[in-house]
Amino acid sequence: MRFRTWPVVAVALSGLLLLIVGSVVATRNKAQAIYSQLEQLNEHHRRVESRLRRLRGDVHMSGIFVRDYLLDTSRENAPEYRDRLAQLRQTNMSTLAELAELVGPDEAPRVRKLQANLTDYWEGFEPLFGWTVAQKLAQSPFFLRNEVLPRREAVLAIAQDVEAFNNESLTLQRRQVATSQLELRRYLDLVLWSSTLLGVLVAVAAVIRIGFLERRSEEQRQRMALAELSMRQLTQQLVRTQEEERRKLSRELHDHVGQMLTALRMELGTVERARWAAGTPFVHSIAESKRLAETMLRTVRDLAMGLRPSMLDDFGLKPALEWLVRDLARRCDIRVDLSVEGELNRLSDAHRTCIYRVVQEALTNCVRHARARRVMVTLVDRQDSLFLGVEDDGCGFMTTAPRAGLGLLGLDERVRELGGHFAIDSGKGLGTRLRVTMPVPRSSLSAEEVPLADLAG
Amino acid sequence: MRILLADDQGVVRRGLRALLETEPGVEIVGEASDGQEALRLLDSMEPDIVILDVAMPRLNGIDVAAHARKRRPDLRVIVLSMHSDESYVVRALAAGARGYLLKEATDDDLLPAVRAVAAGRTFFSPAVSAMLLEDHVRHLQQRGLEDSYHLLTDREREVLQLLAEGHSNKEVAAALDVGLSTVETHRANLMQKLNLHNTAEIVLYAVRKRIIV
Repeated sequence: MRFRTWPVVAVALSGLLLLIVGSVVATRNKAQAIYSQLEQLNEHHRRVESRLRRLRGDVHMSGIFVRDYLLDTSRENAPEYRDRLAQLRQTNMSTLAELAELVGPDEAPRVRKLQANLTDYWEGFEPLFGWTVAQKLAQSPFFLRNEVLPRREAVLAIAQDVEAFNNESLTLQRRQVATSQLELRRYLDLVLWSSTLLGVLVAVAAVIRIGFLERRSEEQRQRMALAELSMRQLTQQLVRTQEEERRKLSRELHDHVGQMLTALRMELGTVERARWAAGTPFVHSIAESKRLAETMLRTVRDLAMGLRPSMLDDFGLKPALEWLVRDLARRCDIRVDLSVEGELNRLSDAHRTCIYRVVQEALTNCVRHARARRVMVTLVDRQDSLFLGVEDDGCGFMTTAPRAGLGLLGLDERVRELGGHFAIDSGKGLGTRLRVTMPVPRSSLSAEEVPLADLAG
Repeated sequence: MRILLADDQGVVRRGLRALLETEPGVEIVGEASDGQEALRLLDSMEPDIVILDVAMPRLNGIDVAAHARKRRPDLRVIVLSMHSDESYVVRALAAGARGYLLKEATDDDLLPAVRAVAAGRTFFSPAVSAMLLEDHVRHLQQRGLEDSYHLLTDREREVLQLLAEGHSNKEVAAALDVGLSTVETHRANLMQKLNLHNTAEIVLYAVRKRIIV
């Protein structure tokens, strides 16, 4: 199979395109992932921050409530303060629970510590609500300074810790995100370089291939020009050959027939002058005249048969071929075996003439060029087609030679004109095999062939 | 002896007539210039012998002979031809011709041919039988074959000669004073030995071997 460029180029280009599209999609997905990771990180940090803020706010608020309670001298307001504090404690605890859920395992101990301190902080308020006004007045400054303040400071310090850790982990994770961003950039660089490299490779290959094809098409054009030139030369030679044949015919007519007619006329003149003197010269001239006329007759007959054998028209193809073979055997030392299969009747004049000329030319070549000793001529009539084979044991020739034979070219042309196929197979010292197959359109049957063939049996 | 001439060339007819009229007992009953006219004259003039040129317009001489012999089996036919090749000779024989003359030697051969045919024998121009024999010998030599005439018995040779001279099986039987089936057996044997397939080939063979002249 011939090598084709376009599938390779198409595959390489679509590979390149796929690489680019694939990497764009992958990049988009990766960037999206990084963005959402960052978003998630910020969101988490914000949530932790807000919980801590609320926690701290509630703690501060509780301090204010406790101070307000201690400064309030009426007893009936005590349950309300207590409820408000319990409410704050509850909010505070649920915020803490939310925080515990939010933070990771690294922060869990800190949160647990925060919880312990907070519980401690809230439980520290419990005794207050049993105090009398006098107790409030006497002990509240001390209680606030020694109990509430340190506990609150402890809680706030831990909250501060948690916040610090939160910030730290944010920074850490942001750094991780930055790392994956760097990875993405490296990936993009890789894709860019590899697709550039692949593109350059495809381009270089395509350029080389196009150059090669252009060179080849140029060679082909030159070959065709050469073929056209040799075709023209062959045509010219064909014309020359035709002219040569005419010259030969003309010379034959003029030199032989003309000379003999001249001689005949001279003999007749002699007869005329010698008519009264009967004797040897008279009889001799008459005999010479007859001899001249006979020779002339034979010359003209041979000439006519050479141009077109009367058998072809009188009896058909087979008798004409048989005559051709016999006639050749009379003139040259060559054995020709003719084998005809099938009827051969109802062939058109064109087909008869074509086959006859092919055999004639082939046999002429066998004698003139191949110096063959034996020739096998096979003609098979297969109803809708004819097969002709001529095979000799001569010296053969190179069929690739540019001047493999003008006669053969003419035959090829003749056969092709009738829609047939002409093939020749030879080589130096290998003999020559010539094969012709041609369709015979039996629909246009002409019954002109062989009017006498049935009588021969 | 009533003779009809058929040739498309007037000059040739005149030459033939001049030659034939020197023979005593010959009467030229008509001249035809093409095949159809020859057939018409054959019907109306009823000649004993017809001299036919092969190359005639409208119907060639061999076709005329074939048609005429169908109607008149006793008609004697002499064919004139340019060609000494076997493809013409064998067809002329098949069409019933008993004389075959080459045009180049007509003046020498015509009267002997007319005499031979009138006497019920056959006649071929010497150049024709020479050519047929040469072709035959060359053909045999090229294929390394031998002529098997020597294989025939004396009786078979007699039968061959009589058949080649144009006699029917019955006439041969009468001439040799044997039964018809005996002649048929001889005929079959000699045809097999010589590789012949029909009467025309028997005559051709006899001409080649100069068994008949």
